[in-house]
Amino acid sequence: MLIVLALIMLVLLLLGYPMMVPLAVGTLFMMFTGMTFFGPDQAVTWMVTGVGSWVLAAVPMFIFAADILTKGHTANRLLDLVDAFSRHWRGGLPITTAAACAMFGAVSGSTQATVVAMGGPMRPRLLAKGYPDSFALALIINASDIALLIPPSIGFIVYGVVMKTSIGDLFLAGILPGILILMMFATYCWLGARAKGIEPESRASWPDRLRALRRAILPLGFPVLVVGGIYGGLFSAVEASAVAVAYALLLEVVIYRKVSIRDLGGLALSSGMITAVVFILVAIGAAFSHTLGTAGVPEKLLGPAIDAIGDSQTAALALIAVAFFVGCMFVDPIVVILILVPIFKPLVESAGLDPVHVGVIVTLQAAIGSATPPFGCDIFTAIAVFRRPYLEVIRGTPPFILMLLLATVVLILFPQISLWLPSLGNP
Amino acid sequence: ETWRIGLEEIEGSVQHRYAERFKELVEKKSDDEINVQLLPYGTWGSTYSALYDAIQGGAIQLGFGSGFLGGTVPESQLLNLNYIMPDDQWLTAKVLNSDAFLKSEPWRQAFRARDLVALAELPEGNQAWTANKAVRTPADMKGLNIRVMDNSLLRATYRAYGASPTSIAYGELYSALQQGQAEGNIQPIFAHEEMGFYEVQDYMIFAGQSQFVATLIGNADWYDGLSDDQRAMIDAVTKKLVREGHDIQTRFNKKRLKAIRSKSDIEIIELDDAQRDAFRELARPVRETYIEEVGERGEQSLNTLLDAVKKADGKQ
Amino acid sequence: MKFAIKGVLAALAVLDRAIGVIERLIIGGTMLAMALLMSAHVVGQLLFDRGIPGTYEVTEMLIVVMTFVGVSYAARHARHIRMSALYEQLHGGARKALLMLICVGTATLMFYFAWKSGQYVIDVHDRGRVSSALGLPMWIVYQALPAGFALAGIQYLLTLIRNALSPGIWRSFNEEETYSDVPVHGGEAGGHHDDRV
Ligand code: NA
Ligand code: NA
Repeated sequence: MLIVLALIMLVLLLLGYPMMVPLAVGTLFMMFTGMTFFGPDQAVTWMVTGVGSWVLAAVPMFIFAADILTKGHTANRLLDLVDAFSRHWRGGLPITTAAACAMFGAVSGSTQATVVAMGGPMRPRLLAKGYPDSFALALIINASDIALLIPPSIGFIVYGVVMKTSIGDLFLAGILPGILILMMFATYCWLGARAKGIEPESRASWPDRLRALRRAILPLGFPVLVVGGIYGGLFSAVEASAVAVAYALLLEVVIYRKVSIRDLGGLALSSGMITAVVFILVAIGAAFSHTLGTAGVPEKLLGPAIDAIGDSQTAALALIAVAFFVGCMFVDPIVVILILVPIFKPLVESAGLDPVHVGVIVTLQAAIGSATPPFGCDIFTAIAVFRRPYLEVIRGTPPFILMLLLATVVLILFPQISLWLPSLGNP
Repeated sequence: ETWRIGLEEIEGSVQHRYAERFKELVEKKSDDEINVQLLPYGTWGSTYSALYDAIQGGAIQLGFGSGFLGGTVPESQLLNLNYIMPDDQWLTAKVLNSDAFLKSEPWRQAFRARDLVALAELPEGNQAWTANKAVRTPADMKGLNIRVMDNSLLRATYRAYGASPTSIAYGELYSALQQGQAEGNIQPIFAHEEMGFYEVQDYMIFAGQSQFVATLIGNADWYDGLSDDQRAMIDAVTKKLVREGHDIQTRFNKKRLKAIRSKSDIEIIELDDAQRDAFRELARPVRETYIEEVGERGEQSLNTLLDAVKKADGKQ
Repeated sequence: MKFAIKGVLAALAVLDRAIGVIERLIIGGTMLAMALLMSAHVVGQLLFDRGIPGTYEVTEMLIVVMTFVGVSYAARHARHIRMSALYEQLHGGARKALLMLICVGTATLMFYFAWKSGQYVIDVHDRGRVSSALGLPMWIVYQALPAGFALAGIQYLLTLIRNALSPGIWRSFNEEETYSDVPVHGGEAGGHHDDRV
């Protein structure tokens, strides 16, 4: 029965049905074949309750904030800042791109918004400098995923709530791994530029750098305000997403005046649609996962693996990483976190793993998943924004995915990289 | 025949232990004709209203409804009112499960109107306050940012005490207490222990204001479709479980409190009668809020309960 | 015959545009309302020690409305996430046939969910479920499900009709597929000049 279920879903998937269809048909299949005692009425309940959740409000809010910043001046100011400091390095332009993506990640919770905000202006410049398009696209997509590790991060918020773990600690834990990955990417860019013989650009002068810094000071207030506010007990992580919107409005509408009140309707509409596209999958994904659960599928699939692991923490972490990696290859990361975290929670507890560290691994896998074929919201965003066919968008991704997997291994072996910063906060 | 019973709590909880006993007794009394299946939190979904929906729709025949049941059965918020039940926990369990209250017309109708029947009440122990400062009088409570469920009745109650109640989603509560966004919290002891709230709070205060009470509910159509014998059997089982339920919760909470004490140096404050009276006085007008919100059936339910309490107190 | 087809499409287009306007208002409106409510709640807590009662549940309701009405709006703009690798390998008639197959299947599912969730709304109405903080009747909010699913079903049906009646491949009623093999002209976002041809 399980094989039939998997086959049906896979065929629908490959035929190109909207992702909600295989999930829904899989759910209904289990219900109609009696794999669970719940019927389709309960599927509707699960859809409503799956998406009607306060925590998820952080998703539309961060997307909206990022859309406002992208339309406004903030994105360019951050870009100029990074550019002023790194343009003269070999491979400076792609390194700038990667660093700027990480930095925009620090003002926004959304990887997709980062693709748009940083990829939009940087791709033409990369192409002009002689980098191949497949490299440029892969760099933008994968560097944007660092946004998921640099606070604030939608992934951490959702994980923290499902796992009942301190979101503040998760935010701190993501910083060093994010920087580690950024450095790996930078090395790759440097090697690539050397191999291709691409010359660096001229060095920016100090007055130019100071000017860029001054122009970026208000946007740099974002992470300070959001993370500081959460740590200072001013507001919760979910509420912080609304603070991000308010700050984005203050910057772009009141101070820079790049976004008009009239623009807001259109921005709200497009942010709302992106939210809906993800959330309908969250809704149907909730129905799917609860149905799977009542049908006893996770035990059937995971039981043997968990027995084999015994009490090895590294093996448990590796299993979790693989499961999330595979899951995120097919489904949106938020959906995967919502579905898989409850399934793995008992394993995390029984193996005595630190839930904060697991959160970093899981979020990293979600980030990789966003950029990994066949599915990945960043891939789809890139297709829509840059208007390139699917296959070209994914062609340059393998080296990046290899680096991200390497980072996963490093983090599994050296948990201190993620746990050191939060440990300073909680002596 | 399979009866499924949905729990709001995870395995190893008071509800779970009660349901295990319910299962044993029903299966034995029915000579294994009936098979009872327990569905702990998570197996039916993760939002309580999904459980209530499943019971109302009949996919699950039985289950527990507690603090969150107010949206489904507004009258059930009665059990959230402060200082309406006896100080003695065992007496409370008896009164709530007495025919005079549980089978009274207003209480019965409140559940019937939502396709449900109330089969038993399971008090799960006293709700305790925690805070970062000692609270002994309403003056100590003044302006305290205490977290309550987003529920107008609880907000009114704590505003009456002089606090500044704030609503924080359960999932965000631990870090909100840790970072100081909330300065206090109200939970049954097992929740304080399970969620580790005590780790980030300095004082735990017992004011005897209310217990955490879960109602064992059944789907009305399912219940009406049972044979008379089966209904009598459920009656007998739930009657027997009043005492056992009380023993289960007492044992659990004692153990949990011990765990809290051994794992932290949280200071425990037990209010004496005079101190409780100060809060009791302030809580009284909130009954009107309940009546205003819930209406006539609520008022009748409240009066029925108060009468039952008075009678029981007198007999004591 | 050709005239009749044109008439049918024109009539459908008018209806479709009207629904589109309503969808836009609802989705943009819920997003703005959510931002306003949540920020006001935070400000209230910071300045007056008192948030706005019911912020949590109203936010949750807004998400429900945004999501399910958004299903239809995203269908209208062919924005639902799907794996298009295989689809992109096909051309001409085969591609059109596959697209129409997808439309039929998806429309069926949407109408099924519209019916099921419609029943759910009636149940919730009859049982008098209200929200726990403000006591708002939940069936009003949940109407977004049957409405959104039904409208999404109609979108897929309209796309099917458009593909059946008009030449070319239409990924939605109003949008013809054009970009897949077209040269690039810059990212939408930055509006920067793209010098690659
Ligand atoms: Na981020
Ligand atoms: Na992916």
